[in-house]
Amino acid sequence: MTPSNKSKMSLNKDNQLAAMLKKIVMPLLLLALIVLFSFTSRGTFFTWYNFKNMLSQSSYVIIAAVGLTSIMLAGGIDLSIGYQMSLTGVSCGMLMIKSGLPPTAAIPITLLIGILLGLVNGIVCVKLGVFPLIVTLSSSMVFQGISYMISGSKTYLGFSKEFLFIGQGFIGPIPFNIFISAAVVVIMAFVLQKTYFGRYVYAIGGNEEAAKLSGINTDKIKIILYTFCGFCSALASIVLISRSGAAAATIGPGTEFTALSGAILGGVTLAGGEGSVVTMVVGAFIITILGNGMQLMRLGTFPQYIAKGVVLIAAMAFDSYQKKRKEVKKKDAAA
Amino acid sequence: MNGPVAPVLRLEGITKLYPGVAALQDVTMEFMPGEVHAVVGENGAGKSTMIKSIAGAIRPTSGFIEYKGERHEYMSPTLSRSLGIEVVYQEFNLIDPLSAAENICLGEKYGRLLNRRKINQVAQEIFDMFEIDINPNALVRNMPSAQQQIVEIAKAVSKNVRILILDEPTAPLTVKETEALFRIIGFLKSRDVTIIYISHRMDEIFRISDRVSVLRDGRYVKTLNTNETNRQELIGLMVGRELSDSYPKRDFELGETALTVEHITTDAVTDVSFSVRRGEILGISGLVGSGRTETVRAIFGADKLKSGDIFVHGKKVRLKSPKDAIGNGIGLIPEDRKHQGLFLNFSILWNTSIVNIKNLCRGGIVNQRRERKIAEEFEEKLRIRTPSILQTVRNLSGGNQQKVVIAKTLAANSNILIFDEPTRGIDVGARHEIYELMNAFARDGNTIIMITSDMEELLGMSDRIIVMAKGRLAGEVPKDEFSQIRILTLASG
Repeated sequence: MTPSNKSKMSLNKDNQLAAMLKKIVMPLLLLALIVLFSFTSRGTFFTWYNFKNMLSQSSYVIIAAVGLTSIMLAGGIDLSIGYQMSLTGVSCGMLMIKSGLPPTAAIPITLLIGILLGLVNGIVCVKLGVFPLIVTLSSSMVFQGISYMISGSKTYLGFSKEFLFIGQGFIGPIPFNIFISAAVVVIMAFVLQKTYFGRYVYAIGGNEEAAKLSGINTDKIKIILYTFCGFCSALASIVLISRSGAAAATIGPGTEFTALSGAILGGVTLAGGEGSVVTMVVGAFIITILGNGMQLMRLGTFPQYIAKGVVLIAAMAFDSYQKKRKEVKKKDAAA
Repeated sequence: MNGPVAPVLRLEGITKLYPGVAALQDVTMEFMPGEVHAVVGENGAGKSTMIKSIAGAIRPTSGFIEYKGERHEYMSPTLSRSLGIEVVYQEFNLIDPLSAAENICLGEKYGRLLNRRKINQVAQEIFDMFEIDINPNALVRNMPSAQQQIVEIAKAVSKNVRILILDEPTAPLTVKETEALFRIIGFLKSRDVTIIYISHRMDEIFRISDRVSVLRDGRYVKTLNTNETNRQELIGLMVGRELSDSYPKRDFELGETALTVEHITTDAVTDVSFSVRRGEILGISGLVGSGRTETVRAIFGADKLKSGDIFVHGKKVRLKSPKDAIGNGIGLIPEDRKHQGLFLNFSILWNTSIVNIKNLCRGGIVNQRRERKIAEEFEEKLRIRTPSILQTVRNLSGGNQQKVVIAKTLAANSNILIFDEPTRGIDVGARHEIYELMNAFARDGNTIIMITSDMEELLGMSDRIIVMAKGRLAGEVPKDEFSQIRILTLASG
């Protein structure tokens, strides 16, 4: 009746395997997608040109997602990043085209505006104690309104060469904006993993009450995170409008969902305290590759939406299946 | 042991393996109809796993469960419910915004719509049987935890319970409330309901149980008739060795005053003043809701002070947040370690350093070698039992979790420690270790303030006791005047 040592061992191994599987399943999915599209795209997918293109395309999303992920790790959320991008992008375009400021002046001002928008979000969330989801959904509408009003729904074109370099230029064979997103990822990964600030972020996401009683100024940290997220949105927006060569109120919105999908696929939970900026990048790549590969298979935008939605649900289903599996260990495994 | 009556529930060779540990190993036990059967054991002995197997929350790896002679490979929550097995866990399973009656009758159908009159009647009948005065219409949210527990039990009774499992039922209860619970247990027993009673409190076990079974390290040790055994023997069986003295003696010198509280008033307490000296353990007693926890929360900067002054080592301080308190050398070991003390999904190492992390940094970057060294020191000093300090705190037993909370607080160089219910839900062996830690801490010239509902602990550990009632200080009792009656009299206002 008592299980032999052997079966106990196999059960252990089984569990270790499951834990490992959880860690590598997303990188594996990424790899599988690459292999799949390499075969289905008739040689157009697995090329240096296409990869360069994908990385460059997704770099603004990754920059925005770093800000969002940082907030999510502390158990918050910011759904307004799309319209933060819209508003900062429009501001940046107007500063350069309408006011004739050089990029060296317009860019810092734009970043400052982003910081301000994030700061407002943070202060409202913390001081009023309203759910961040509601706060940022509302502020998103406010930003949208301002963005359309100040831009008069116009599109601003004709940026200087220097400014266009940010989104379209190259250093050697590599698009310049990849360096920007890589820098943001590396710096934030370091901050979150290696500094006390990072510990505080995870602590708040892990258990906010315990974090407070551990002497952490949770309000301050949260405000800093929302502010940082605003900065990231502004930076992402600069990269995006430089890449597309145009600034308008319609450019930016929608990024919040791509970024959120990437973060969740990367194992960043809505509850907080789990995942990292690096795993988020893996998730963001999955979304990008899925879109790109399907495009090359001549599957249009709508099938892509469906595929992305399904993958997201599947990822969350897999996660909760893993958690349940730990509880209900099959009896016959040991019998 | 087997009388003429057949057991109602039998566990046969129940084994439950988790990765790396056997939570239960080959446990065989019998439960008779109408008996109060206590199950004791240290934390990690397998009591919870046993309950969960019976309730169907988990499937045993091997073995089977026999209910009235019928054999089941495992229980499912639905199956165990339908057999009349109900569990009242430490964390209640009530729906807060609903009324007592709605909770009790949840899932029952009296006609197509919610029949409020009918469910109130059902609830009232049960409360009458219990001789308890609770309004069936009262919202669970607004009830003290003692009443919530009675609602839980009433819920079980309304489902025609045959086996009622109570997990540490008296932990949140005051003395008077405990009496009410015991009366209900007696009533259920007279109706032939089997009560499986999990508790760490020896006096209760000797008062109400007929038989007592001991588990140790996931194995079944022995079942004894309660009236044929004694406390010493039970504790011996639980820990596998004899414990000489439950409260270690100590000699100490009282130093100068470490903390003075003058006329503090918050939303929950009014005009509280006292002081504690170095080397002293000050006990704070009082009923649940008397303002004990709120007083220390104010001292710790967690609740806002409306008026009054706090002096640390003779210096007046303003403590506006826990951060300020920690900076002044005050540490809090909160009453609810899972929600207020620990980061359950993180490692022992991570938890140990979180309060002190800034001091482990240079230029904001954590010195991981130093961090590890300090955590290892605490693991050894506090005897935290774990294969590795990288172990997730969630997987530790209650006693070891409490040691991690203490480690995290000590790591921040506290010299005034506030313990709120230092040993709640902790087994005898680990309890003793925590007492020794507290004594050693005081002996080194530090200060301890201890809130506890456990009378033995209060009398055994404190050098002086202050008693609170209704948000005010009700009195102070010096060591040579310690008596249970004196404290209870003061506490009841």
